[in-house]
Amino acid sequence: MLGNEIVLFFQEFVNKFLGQAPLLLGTVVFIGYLLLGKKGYEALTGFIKAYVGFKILQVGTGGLVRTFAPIINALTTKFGIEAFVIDPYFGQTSAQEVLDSVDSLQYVGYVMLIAFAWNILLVALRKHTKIRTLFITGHIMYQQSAVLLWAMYWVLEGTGLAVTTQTVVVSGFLIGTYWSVMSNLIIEATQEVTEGAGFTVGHQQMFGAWAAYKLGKLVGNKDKDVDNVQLPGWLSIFNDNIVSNTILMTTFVGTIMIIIGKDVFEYSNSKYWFGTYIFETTAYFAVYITIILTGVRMFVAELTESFQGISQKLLKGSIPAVDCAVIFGYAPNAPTYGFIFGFFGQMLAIGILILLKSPILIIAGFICLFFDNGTLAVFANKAGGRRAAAIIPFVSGLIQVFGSALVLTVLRGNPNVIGWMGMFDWATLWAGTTLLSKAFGVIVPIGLIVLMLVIPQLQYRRHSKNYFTTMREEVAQKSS
Amino acid sequence: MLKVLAACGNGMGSSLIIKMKIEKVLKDMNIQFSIHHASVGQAKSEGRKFDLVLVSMPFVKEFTNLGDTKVIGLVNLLSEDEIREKVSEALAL
Repeated sequence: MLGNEIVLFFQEFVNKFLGQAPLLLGTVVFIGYLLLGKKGYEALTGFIKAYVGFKILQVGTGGLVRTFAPIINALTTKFGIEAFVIDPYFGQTSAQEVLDSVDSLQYVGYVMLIAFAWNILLVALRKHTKIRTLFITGHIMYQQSAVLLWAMYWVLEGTGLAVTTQTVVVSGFLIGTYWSVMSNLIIEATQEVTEGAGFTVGHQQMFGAWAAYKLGKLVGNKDKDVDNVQLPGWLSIFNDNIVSNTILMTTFVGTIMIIIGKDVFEYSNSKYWFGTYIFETTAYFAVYITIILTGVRMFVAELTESFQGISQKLLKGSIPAVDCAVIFGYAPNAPTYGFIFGFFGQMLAIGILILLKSPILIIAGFICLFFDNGTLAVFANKAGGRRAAAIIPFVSGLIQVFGSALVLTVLRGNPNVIGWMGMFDWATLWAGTTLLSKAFGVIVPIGLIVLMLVIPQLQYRRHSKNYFTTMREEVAQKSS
Repeated sequence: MLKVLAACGNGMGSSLIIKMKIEKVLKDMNIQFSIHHASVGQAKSEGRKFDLVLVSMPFVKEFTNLGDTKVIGLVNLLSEDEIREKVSEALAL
């Protein structure tokens, strides 16, 4: 009898505690802090902030879907096309709401934990794996775990039932391999860009930045640096993310609302003109994104601190893979260059989609435009100057739109889907993985894990002499 | 108590990294402090409540109206040496 009760309690605990995403994340933080030797009340603080932060995030994602869905439904009803925003937080929102609708949001936490543990193991065995980098960009880790799990679930299962253990495990190892391999791939280029600062990029475009660096040499001249160019001052309004989100959403979604026509929307004629109604509606995108950011900031700060503490204890001498914006200080004009030319690329691609009467319309998002193409521009500029910093983000803009539109052909068909990541690696590598997995099944992600692990071996073969030593010495110098 | 704010574009990734580095440096310097991180947009409106605002170099020109608050621009956000040097200078230690 007692045995039964214990089993029953354990099942309940799995469902009602470990099965609740915010409780799970809070607990991870709590345990992490205790392992770091922090006091009990500090661990409790971490638990509460992780929990509340996650709940705030959910308010934001819910609000974003509620604001966006009616506009898109109206567009679909009237013209038979669907629109999606390519922006990480629209991708994350889609992932969280889809997974939550099948009671599987908590599995994102497990995917992230598997991936993080796998990354630690790969670095610990670096003699054999040739992996030198540990991913500690908390908000990206959570976001990518969520979006990949959603994509894999949707193309491999999509049953309406909860996500299976197999998909959780495969997604965990796949995203963990990506973190390890791609941030390792870009170490040398990051060292060039930062003049040996001792870190690498752990974000959403490591493969893209590596390609930008390699191709930059071919399309430009590195001596004609972008920082010799004077950029117009008004561009600086885009440095404020609230302003830029509002401007972009008002422009794009506002245009869509005008095309749909004011008769479709239900608003009070005594309170609004159509114009002010559009502005209020589209400004809500900035409102909900700000809420999402506030929530993520709160729980990720705790998570990152506990992750970083753990990894520092476990792995001395590994190289931290950090947010892409950390490199912006080394070429202050380049991100703006990337933003402008990436914008032109995306606009051209969106125009082509409209001309071809594509059933999927893409709406440009701010983070892709600024942070993604900005990062590519920094790397391109280092290798090929301002010519490269213009051409490569332009081409990237085209790829971001077409790649995302392509992958959305298999991800749409769920009312919670309002967008996709759109960041370079997600419009190329991950779009491809998702499409191939749809066609060939789970063998694709498994095969990809093995294939990616070959990359650091090839890197090692090319410069085995200073593969480990250069970075280590530089890191040692910096921290001494 | 020294009030410090670390800021970056979205207030997510790099500001958190600066924040963790600043915490380490200020502890080493034996300074009593409290620290937060935020986006540049938020930092512009709330910066006056802080003694020091630390951002990546390209954002320094965004802060024109912070009164007595000192704004520090960093090139290498992960360099404890650079943070120590610039904080000492700003506090005239």
